[in-house]
Amino acid sequence: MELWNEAVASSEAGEREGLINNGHISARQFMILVTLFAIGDAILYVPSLTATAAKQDAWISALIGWGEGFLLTYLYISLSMRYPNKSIFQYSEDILGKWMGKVVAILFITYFFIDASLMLMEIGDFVTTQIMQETPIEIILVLFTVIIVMGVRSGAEVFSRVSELLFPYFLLLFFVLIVFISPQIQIENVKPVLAHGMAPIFGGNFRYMGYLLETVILIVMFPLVKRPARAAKAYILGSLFSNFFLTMITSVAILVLGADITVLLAYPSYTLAQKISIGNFFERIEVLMAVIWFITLFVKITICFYATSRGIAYTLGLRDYRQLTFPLGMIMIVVALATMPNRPYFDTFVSEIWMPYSLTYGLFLPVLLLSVGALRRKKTVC
Amino acid sequence: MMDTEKQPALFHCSLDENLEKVKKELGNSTDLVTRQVRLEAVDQLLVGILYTEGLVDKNMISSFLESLMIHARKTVIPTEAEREVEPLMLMKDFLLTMGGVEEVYDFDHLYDAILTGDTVMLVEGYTYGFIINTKQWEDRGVQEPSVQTVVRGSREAFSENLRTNTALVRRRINNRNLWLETVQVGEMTQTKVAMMYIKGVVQDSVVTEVRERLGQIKIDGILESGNIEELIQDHTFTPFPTVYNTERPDSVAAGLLEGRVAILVDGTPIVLLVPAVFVQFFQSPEDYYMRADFGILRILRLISFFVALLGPSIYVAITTFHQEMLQTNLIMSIAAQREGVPFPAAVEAMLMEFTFEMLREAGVRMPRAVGSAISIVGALVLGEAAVQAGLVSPATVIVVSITAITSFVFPSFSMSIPIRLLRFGLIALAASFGFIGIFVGMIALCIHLCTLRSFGVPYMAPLAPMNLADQKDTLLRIPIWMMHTRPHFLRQKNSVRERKSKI
Repeated sequence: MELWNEAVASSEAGEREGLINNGHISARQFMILVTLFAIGDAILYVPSLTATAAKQDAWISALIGWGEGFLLTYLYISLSMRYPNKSIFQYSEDILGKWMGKVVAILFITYFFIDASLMLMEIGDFVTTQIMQETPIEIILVLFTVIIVMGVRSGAEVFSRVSELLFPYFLLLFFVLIVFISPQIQIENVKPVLAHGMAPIFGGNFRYMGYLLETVILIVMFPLVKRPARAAKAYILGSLFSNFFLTMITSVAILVLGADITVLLAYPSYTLAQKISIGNFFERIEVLMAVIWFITLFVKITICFYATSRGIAYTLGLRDYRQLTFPLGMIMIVVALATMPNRPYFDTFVSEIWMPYSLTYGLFLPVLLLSVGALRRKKTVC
Repeated sequence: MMDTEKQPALFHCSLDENLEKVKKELGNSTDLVTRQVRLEAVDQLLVGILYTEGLVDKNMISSFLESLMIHARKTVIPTEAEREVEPLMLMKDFLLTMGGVEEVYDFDHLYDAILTGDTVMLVEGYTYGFIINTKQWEDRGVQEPSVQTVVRGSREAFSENLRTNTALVRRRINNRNLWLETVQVGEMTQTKVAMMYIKGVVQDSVVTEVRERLGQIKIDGILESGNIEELIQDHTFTPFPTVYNTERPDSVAAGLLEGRVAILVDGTPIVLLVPAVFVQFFQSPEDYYMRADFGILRILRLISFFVALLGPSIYVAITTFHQEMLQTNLIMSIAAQREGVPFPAAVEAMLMEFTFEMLREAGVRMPRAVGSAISIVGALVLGEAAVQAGLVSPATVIVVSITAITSFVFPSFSMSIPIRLLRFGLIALAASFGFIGIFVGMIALCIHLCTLRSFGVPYMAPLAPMNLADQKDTLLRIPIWMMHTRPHFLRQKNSVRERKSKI
């Protein structure tokens, strides 16, 4: 009830403030955004990425991720709570001064934009390799860019509502996937546990963390929730939920497919869906199951794209970010095509480069901002 | 009439001149009746009476004349010495036995009165007259609802008469807090539009908003509530109805109790309710009259919504792109049926859908007498013969028929129109991109639905923004003894509707 009142009040506030400030979202919506965002493309790649190093212990790598997810989210929350109702672009200027702050803001914007383009390409690659081999990838990219631009243009309030509307379908399909595949679980696939000690597990976890680090992008959405304390709780809960889903899909992939096959597959979750066979009738429903990651990817790209356009609009001092969405959408398609010339290149990029790259933005810069901010504050007190 | 600044034209002293002017300005319309009577009892006054034939109650007119010409002689009227007031005021107090009597001072009001069915009385030597309420015209009377029928529940539907309609609502809510406001909309038609709401339940800002939006309408005529609906809705371009309409007084009463505002328009049996939300169009009054488990049918309606929207496009997507989704035997049999068909599945589905839409339209417009001919042509020639001739496959006919049936499941007809429209777009997307196209189309639809608002209330409430308490009456209806609050998304002043009322 209280959540509701908040949402109502926020929607009213949003209308009054018009286009400049894009309305508020409720804590519940923020939680759903965090959950769907953190699941994002990870649901497709995490099983094979973790299994590459950790083999049959991949699920332990994912479990460790719960702790890391919590700590990382805690870091983002402490940063956001320090400057309530200010976006990261604003407070990076407050902390580091106007020019250094702008540099950090631009760095963040490039990160958001590259992430959005990469994921767009992931969709394109997934669709053209797995579902519609004969369709040119550009068409798929344009198709998805259209709905992403549409979502971003309609504002944070609206796409939060869209994700709220889609969340039950995500849950339904996810659990249908898990339940329908569960008869094929073989416990032997996870044995022997800890055969090679902890080292490979951390190796697998290292890649898993690359996805957790991306949740830093939600820092942009944080000030949209009216009460920071509620937003903080939603951030943590959402991060835990997403870890739950990722651990679940990793474990099920290992349990059903076995570590060796999971490593070889480009999209283990999709293969899982292909293997569903109930009573010789519910078979090959993988296209329906693909809706799971279409939903999460849509939410994730939309948020990245929103963060990019808000960031650019703020940095350049534009009143409204909406005019940026069309050109940015076109640029995103081109960047997507440029970042991924072929699949092996992309695989190397994701497994070797993405993690350290994300570490800069997901860990290093927030820690920098937090510590410099803390030092500065002390100075002013003295 | 457009010029409101103009000084009102006042009456002359001479009765003849006044009557002549009225006759002339109404173009000597033949339904205007004028009559002059000399009153013996009251100072030999010469009285003129004007009314429009057909709009007045004939019995009332005759009793009115009777009271003037006969009873006036018997009534004890104070002599000239005794009275201090004007004779006309005396007449009002003693002679006019009708319910509503008001004074009239200018021609504009006089025209309004006689053209809406009132009778006007003018007197020689006086520059004012009386309007006597004699409205009464032929109407259909209260009949059974023809569109929103129920098995259990009231059998009354609204009619074309505004007064009858407001009375039907008042009979259901006997409360002094049920308020009624009337405005006249349409510069030419001067149509009466009434707003009804329950003071103390409804949110005041909604009432103010409705009042303002009605006040902003500047148009020559309002002929149906649909005109009002289009003029006051929040979003100009959307296929989805953001104003609820009903012909059932009990639906209106239920809406008022939830904190909505009803808009009744004279001359139509369709009443509007605002704010309206998406799920409202899947709710039937019967859901509340039957036992709570009947509410499960709403899930059926939701499934029908998806079938009606996606049925043909899923069929096209599967047969064109994702054949592996079907069981081998099934896909073999569909493929065998389609063997001799010259068209791709998308064209076939589009053709059949288009044919069905035409049949439906013809069914509504055609004269009753040729009805059976159309159904024979529709069912036999287009269904049977088209399949036998190898133009369409039987599977397509089945899919289109199921879609057709499901689109009639919704209790509200206005929701089936956007579905009919969007279906074609989705078929096109499915034919080009398979399930990916359908997914993209549905996301675009979700975004569109989430941007909609109806009088400030998000259209997808209480699903998005989600409100747990309001789920009690969304996809299911929980038992009435558990429904303690009104739907919160309407933000009423008083949201408690029930205290513990079960032992």
